[in-house]
Amino acid sequence: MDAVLLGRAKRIAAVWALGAIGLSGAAWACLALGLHFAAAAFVFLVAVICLALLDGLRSSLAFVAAAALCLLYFFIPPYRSFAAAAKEDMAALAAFVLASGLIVALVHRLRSLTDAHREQARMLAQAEAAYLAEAQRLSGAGSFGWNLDKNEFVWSDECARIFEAKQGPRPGIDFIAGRIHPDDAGAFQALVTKTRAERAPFEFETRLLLPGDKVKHVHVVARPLPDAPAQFVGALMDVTDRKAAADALRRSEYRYRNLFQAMAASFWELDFSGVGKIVGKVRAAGVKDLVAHFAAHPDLVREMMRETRVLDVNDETVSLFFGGDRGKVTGSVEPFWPEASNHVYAASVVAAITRKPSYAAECRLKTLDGREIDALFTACFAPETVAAGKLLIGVIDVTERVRAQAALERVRAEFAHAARVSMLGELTASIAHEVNQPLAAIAANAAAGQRWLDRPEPDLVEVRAVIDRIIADGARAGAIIARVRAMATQKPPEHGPLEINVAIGEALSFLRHELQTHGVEAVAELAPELPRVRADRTQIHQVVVNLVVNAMQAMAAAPAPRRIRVSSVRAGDGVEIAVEDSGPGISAAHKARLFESFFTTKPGGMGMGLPICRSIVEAHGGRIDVQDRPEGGARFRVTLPIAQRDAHT
Amino acid sequence: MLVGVEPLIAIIDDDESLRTALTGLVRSLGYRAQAYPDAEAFLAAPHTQAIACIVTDIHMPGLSGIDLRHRLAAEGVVAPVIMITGRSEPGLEARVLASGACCLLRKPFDAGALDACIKRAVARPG
Repeated sequence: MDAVLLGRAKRIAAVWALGAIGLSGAAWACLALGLHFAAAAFVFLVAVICLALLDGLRSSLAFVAAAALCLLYFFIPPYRSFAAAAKEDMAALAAFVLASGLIVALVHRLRSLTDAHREQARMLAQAEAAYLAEAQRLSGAGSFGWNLDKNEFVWSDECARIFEAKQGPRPGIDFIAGRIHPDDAGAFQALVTKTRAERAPFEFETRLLLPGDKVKHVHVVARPLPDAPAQFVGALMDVTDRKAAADALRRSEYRYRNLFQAMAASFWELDFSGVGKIVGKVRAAGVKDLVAHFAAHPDLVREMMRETRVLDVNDETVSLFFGGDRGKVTGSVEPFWPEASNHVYAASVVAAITRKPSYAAECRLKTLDGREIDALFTACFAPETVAAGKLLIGVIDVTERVRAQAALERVRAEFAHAARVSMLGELTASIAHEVNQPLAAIAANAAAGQRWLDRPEPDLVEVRAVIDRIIADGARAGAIIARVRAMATQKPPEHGPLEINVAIGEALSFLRHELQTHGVEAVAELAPELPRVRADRTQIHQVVVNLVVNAMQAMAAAPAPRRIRVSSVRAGDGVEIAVEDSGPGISAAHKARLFESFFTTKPGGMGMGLPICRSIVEAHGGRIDVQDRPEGGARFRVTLPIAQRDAHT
Repeated sequence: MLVGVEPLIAIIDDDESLRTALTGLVRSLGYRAQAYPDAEAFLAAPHTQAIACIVTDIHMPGLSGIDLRHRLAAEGVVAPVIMITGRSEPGLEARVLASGACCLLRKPFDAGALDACIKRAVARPG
């Protein structure tokens, strides 16, 4: 505060000293030149105006007063005296004071106005500079000017910040060249040379290598000023972050492309916008149940397929569907859908328009050369791609798997067949006995018939009865042979409605003699009026025979009476067959492994009987298990599902 | 043999069709025949008429033909027994003959052989 006052006092002292010198000088000059009052007044007026430019109004008015006193002392008679003069001289002096006062006041008014304007302009300039600097900082873009003729380079603070330079507004072109990444230095020099020669606008991107091995990417645009072709102005922007984001995006895109291309699954990018239009029309026509509508209009489904255009496919698709020829990748997906798979395509369309996230189904697809494959078809309905009318489809070729399954099924059937044949071998004696019974009856009947005929009066009534019995016995023998043949031949299982009680009876007839031989009594307790099960007759024979033979063998060492109970009963949605024996039962340790292949407790046993039973029962959609009977012995239980047509009886 | 009355032959077999066939054959040979499904049924039946001969299957549920022969012997029944079998197990014939059966026939058997056996049996003094 004191310093300010002191400064102001010094300034006032200097102004006043200057005023004193100026006025004294004016007075001296006027006296020396012998000027009279009017001329001297003019000189003083000029001096006062000049002094008024130096300082405030008060000093100026003081100088006006001082000038008036000088005029009164030196130039108004009586000279060298302040004594009163003539009236007209006093009027002239008053006019001088008034005029100079007015002029001084005007000068000050003018000066204060000018000062305000200047202050305003200065503040505005400051604000603009601050605003520009802030804008540059925010945008990460700096501005620069480059004079080619003078090789002068000026830049904004933001440029300096980007370059991490402390050089101020004139860094020099060599400094800039030094910050360019060595790998980009050649290109930078070429640009400088070219611009100097051609003076053409340029735009380029380069890397900077900053202290601490920090790398930045900058984007530069510049052009010459219209009226000064050697003066370039430009903008310089730090694009490191944008570049990193773009790189990340590119890498992600690259990864996606890699996945799309390199996966061992077939991928399709499809344009189904045309399908949307068709579905829109169908809905506009008032169709509510699209699934039924598509099922009833296969032509419409084919049309939608033709409107599903192939945009892109991966290499796996090219080799799987296009015979390895990428040149053929075009057109619609229609050629790849056999008629039999229409419903899968239709279901995928319905899934897409009901905004399901995805759809998958196993179906047959066709390759371009007409081969049909088993495929796992998956469609992904990502909202952003669906909105753009695009669809990503994945197809996995499961032909091999389906073929392997079929082969497994065949092997299983062959194995069951082999087991049946082996079983027939073991039961040969029993079967021969079973056939021998009706044969013996036929022979006896035929002989009787002969004798009735040989009588003096042939008894034709007896002959007729005998022939009827022969026919019945022949049929019985034929039925046994047919069952044996069914057991022996290998044919694919036929799952049809089957009367389980009849099948159980037939199976037991194979074993009657065998059971007798082993001193085992078999009791069948079959529930009447059971619904039919869906099963293959021969395989059910095989299961029952197997379980009964097992039970018989389990009781080989048990004391009499040895009894097997075979029963059937309705159980929920199925029919339950049980084979119970009075043998020693099955130990807990064996129970768990009983249905495993090659597990056997019998000397000379193969350990295949029960595993085959299980595989047959499971192929029928049924279950097999084993329990202990409370009274001792084992209880094997087979449950088979009821045939559809009999399900409600 | 009483004049005018044919000898009565008992037929025991668990297989119904063979039992019927045997009954018919025996009747065609000129005898009366009575059929039983098993040995127990035969033993339980009241024998008001003398049985001239018994034709029985060996392997049946319950008592076998051989068991039946032993049981009859124990009861003092002397009617001759003809046995029929479908099997060919070793030692069977010896056991059959040891039991006192007069004939063993194997299925399917020749009607002439059965005729001869029955003839021999009924001709034998009681």
